Amino acid sequence: MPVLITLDRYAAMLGRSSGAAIRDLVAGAHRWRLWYLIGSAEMRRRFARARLGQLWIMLSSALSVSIMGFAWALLWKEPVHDILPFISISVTVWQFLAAVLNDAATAFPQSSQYFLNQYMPASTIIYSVLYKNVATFLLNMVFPIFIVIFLGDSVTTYSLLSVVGLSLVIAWCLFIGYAVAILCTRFRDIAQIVATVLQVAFFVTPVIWKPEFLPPQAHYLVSYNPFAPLLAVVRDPLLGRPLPGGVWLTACGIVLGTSACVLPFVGRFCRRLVYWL
Amino acid sequence: MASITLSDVTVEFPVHNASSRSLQLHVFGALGGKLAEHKKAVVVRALKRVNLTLRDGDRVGIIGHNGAGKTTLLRVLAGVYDPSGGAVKVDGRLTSFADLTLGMDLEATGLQNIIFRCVFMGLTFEEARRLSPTIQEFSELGDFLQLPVRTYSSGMFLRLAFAISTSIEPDIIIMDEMIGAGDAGFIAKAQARLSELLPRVKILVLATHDPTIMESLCSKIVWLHHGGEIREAGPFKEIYPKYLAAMGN
Repeated sequence: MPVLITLDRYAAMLGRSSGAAIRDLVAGAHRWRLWYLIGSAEMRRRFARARLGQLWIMLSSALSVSIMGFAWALLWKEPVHDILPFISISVTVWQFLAAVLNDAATAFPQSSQYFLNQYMPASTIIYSVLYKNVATFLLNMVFPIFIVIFLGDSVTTYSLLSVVGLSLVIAWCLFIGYAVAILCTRFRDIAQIVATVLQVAFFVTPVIWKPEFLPPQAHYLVSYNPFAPLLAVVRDPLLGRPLPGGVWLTACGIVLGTSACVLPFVGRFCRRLVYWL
Repeated sequence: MASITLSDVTVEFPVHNASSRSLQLHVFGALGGKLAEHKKAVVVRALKRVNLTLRDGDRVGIIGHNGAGKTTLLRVLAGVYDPSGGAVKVDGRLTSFADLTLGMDLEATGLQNIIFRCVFMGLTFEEARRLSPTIQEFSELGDFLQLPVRTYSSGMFLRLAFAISTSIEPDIIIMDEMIGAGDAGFIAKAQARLSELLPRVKILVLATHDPTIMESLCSKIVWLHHGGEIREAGPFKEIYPKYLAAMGN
């Protein structure tokens, strides 16, 4: 019986914390003007005195993506028109994921002046990180989509499913980014760990190689890697690659599972983290 | 009607130095390593069981020596710190003048910054645009407003920040030290603006060490002393002489 009572209390606590987290996320969403301004100021700062401004984002990523595509076409001995669209889209999506998590790691310490001088829901900063990176991602995607139309199969209504995939990825980024941001504020060395994990994950996730290149005994790299399905739901519809329903289910499961774990955590610490700045 | 109610508010800061911020030490601590000397978390109490009720018309000065908890109290009122004990209830639109430049961006023009700062103070873009002409006029910055703010002198920058921040009339104003701006010519204008704005707001809370400012603006005093306790609170005329006498010793 005592175990049950403890469990019951624990569940009640989780419920309360999740409620607080949801209130914080809603309050933050209502401050869209603030996260829009904070995110755009951040982008302006990067390109303020550059003549080509935001165009640099597109140019530099187009260049790196196409050189990577050609190099890996030689390495994997695959035709360029096959591997280039794949790599250009994967790398761009990966850059988005990595940028969100790396930005989240420093988000709160970097914006302490906002939190110490007036009340602002903590999620406002997470939204600004997302806004900035989604905008950058959309600019970066212009070139890969052009490549796909030019080299790949015809773009069909099936390609539109990647918008659904992208929404799943953004939702996942919101939850995981919030958790990472809180952890990195309390323990300042986790930012380094996040960067390292992302570097390693880049190589063991099908970003610059296709899942089918793997020998069967190494398939666990894809099966147990949360990044793999999240990448696939954005990339594969665009490329016209068939995507089994199981991958969609896994991606949804990852998003739901992450939110279930993260919400109580966020609710418990979202008002507390100002003390750690 | 605006009001502020603090009941039994306690604020405690955890002191995280490099060692308790490090995950490594937490892990070693859990493993039974000897490095983990931080187990007893060091906590600094900044406010202790503060009870305070403010209503329309209250002009409150917060006094106390350095480290008495003045800034912490102001931050609790502004909603920055969620107190570790007790409850805070604030009714009314509150503006904190702790940082007049909050939300401003050096790379953007003066005109853009007027909008940004207004939005950070809680206006919509539409409301900010409507307010902009009066702010432009008051700032006397003329054509400079077309230039990025990073090209301004610090005096011009502050003048713009002041012009924007004081152009909105909230219910409650919270100030940590008196605000002011700019060169000799602008100081008089800034003071005129303040002496127009401050009497109009419903509640004013001000922390300052300047007796003349305190006397001219405040009718009530909250006297904090070590550990963030209220030592005395009451009418200005009654408390302030006691405070001065205590400080004189």
